[in-house]
Amino acid sequence: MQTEQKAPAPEFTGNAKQKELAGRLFRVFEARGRFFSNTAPIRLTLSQLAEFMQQQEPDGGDWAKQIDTALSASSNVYLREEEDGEVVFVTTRSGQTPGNGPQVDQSHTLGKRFATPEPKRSIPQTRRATSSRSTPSIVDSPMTPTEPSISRTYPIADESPFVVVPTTLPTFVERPVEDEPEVAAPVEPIPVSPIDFEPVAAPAAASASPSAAIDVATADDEQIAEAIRESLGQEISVARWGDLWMMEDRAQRFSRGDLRRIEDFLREQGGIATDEDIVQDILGVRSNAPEYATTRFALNYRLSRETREFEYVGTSTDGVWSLSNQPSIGTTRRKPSEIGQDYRFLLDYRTPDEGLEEGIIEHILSFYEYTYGVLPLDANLATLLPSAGFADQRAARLTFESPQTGETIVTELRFPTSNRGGFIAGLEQFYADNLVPGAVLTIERTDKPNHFLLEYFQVSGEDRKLLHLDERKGKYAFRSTTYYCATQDDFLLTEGRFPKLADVKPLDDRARRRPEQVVQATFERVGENIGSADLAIYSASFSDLLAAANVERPISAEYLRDILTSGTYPEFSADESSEDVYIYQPAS
Amino acid sequence: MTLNDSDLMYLLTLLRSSEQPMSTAQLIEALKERNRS
Repeated sequence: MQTEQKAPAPEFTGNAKQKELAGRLFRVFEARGRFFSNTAPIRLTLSQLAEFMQQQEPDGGDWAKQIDTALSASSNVYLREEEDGEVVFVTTRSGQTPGNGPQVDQSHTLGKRFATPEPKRSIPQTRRATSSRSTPSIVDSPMTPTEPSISRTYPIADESPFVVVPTTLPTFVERPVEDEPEVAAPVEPIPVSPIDFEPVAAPAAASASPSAAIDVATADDEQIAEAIRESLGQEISVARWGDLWMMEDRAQRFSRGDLRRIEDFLREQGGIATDEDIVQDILGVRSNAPEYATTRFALNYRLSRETREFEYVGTSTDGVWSLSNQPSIGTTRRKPSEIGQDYRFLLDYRTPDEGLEEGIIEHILSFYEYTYGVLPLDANLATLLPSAGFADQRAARLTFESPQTGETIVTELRFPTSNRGGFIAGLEQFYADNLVPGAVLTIERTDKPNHFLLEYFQVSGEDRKLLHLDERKGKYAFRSTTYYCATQDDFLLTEGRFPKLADVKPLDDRARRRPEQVVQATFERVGENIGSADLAIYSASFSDLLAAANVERPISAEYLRDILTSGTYPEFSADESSEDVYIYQPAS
Repeated sequence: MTLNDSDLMYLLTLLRSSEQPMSTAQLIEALKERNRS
């Protein structure tokens, strides 16, 4: 049985006070070099040590002088050096001065015997080595351990004067490959950079947190939950899936064989499977087994680290896994990233409408949504949709069931990022078969968090000339259309209402990215010129602008109103003489 | 918004002693219970 090897305590010399001080400071060196090898030098400047002691015992007198004397007295433990006029003390975790530790005979090491002469062989690149996972993995390039980041200090109820507990593991960076010498060079001591000590005993350590700490006594549940997510989310030792937390080292690990079997299973299942199926069918844990919940958690957490092979497309409560690099669901006419950019404004409008019915929302389909088969993840829809299982999750698989048509549509919920809005993609065929822009939809939650009812009101057939995009000509055109869904007239793009949209070319992408340019173009397309032929001034109602602007890009009513009235764009103004009518005066 | 160090340490200790994953709601309840006692 292997047991922990405890190095004997170093013997300090000098008088009793000097020995005691040297001993106390040795623990500082130990903490500083807790990830170092026993013989690697640990360097701390006299000023750092004095500052530390000053914080511990402010009334202790001239600490620099006392430390210098005390550590110099124990010259068998501490090596005193001067660098750039500053006194530096160096020791090792073994309590020996660097280079004075027990000499190890390295003439016949296993590594040398394998590497001398260097065998001619190529090491096959393993899947693990090429994995793009975010956690440190073993790669066959030179690695240099860097400074363990000491992100937090915790007060520990202990007699010892200080405890420094790093909460993050050492990070590894890849060193550029240099010309390696034929014979392996001796390992260079790790350069040590100065650190700032924080007084640990004082509760002020909490102030190191970048954001304000909450008071559990006064905060509400949502605030506490947010603080838990924020704080535990930063702890690398804590694993998370959805709303569940567990210590990372307690989460079961899976062998490469297990992962391969899961990959094969997903392939057999058409590229997608639930975590429950994987746990029961591949890992052999039945749903009534005591370890079922833990295994399910571990599966979701561990697979989330294997981003090269697997992608999580479940929600915070329902685990669903697909193989990586599966074709994404949704239109091919516009890239998902571009649609996300179009919906970027949603990030600024996060307050749902008041008086929403629980579990159901109504939505009017815009021309843009109809064309690309999307639904915006706006504040209203967000009240229904499940949250992501992982912070960096790209998408979730959702199904929509249409009671009218009896079909179930598989869609993809694209989660918002810091600069892209969220949306649901994959509805273009359903829209084309059953709806027209301006249709009234209801989306209703079911008892399954990733399954929804998508309903529309069926009506007897209506014939209208409605706007279409003629992709062959690259122009908008009006076509006679018969539809059987209830619509909201404000959003219906009929020829009688917007005759000037006929034969108009869509805006180019540069203009579409600028909402104010889209609004300008919309005024010109649907507004009335109340100026002159030489100096045009356009007037248009808000409802006309909203319906027609959404032909080019998504613009919500709130966003459009902000563009028209915020004053950011002085070319737009409200028409004081008419209700909800706006004026656009192009810059001359 | 974050937890103070004492609450965070408490939750870490709680998680360390638990063999099952714990939900955020359970952790909230644990923090409140600790605050009450």
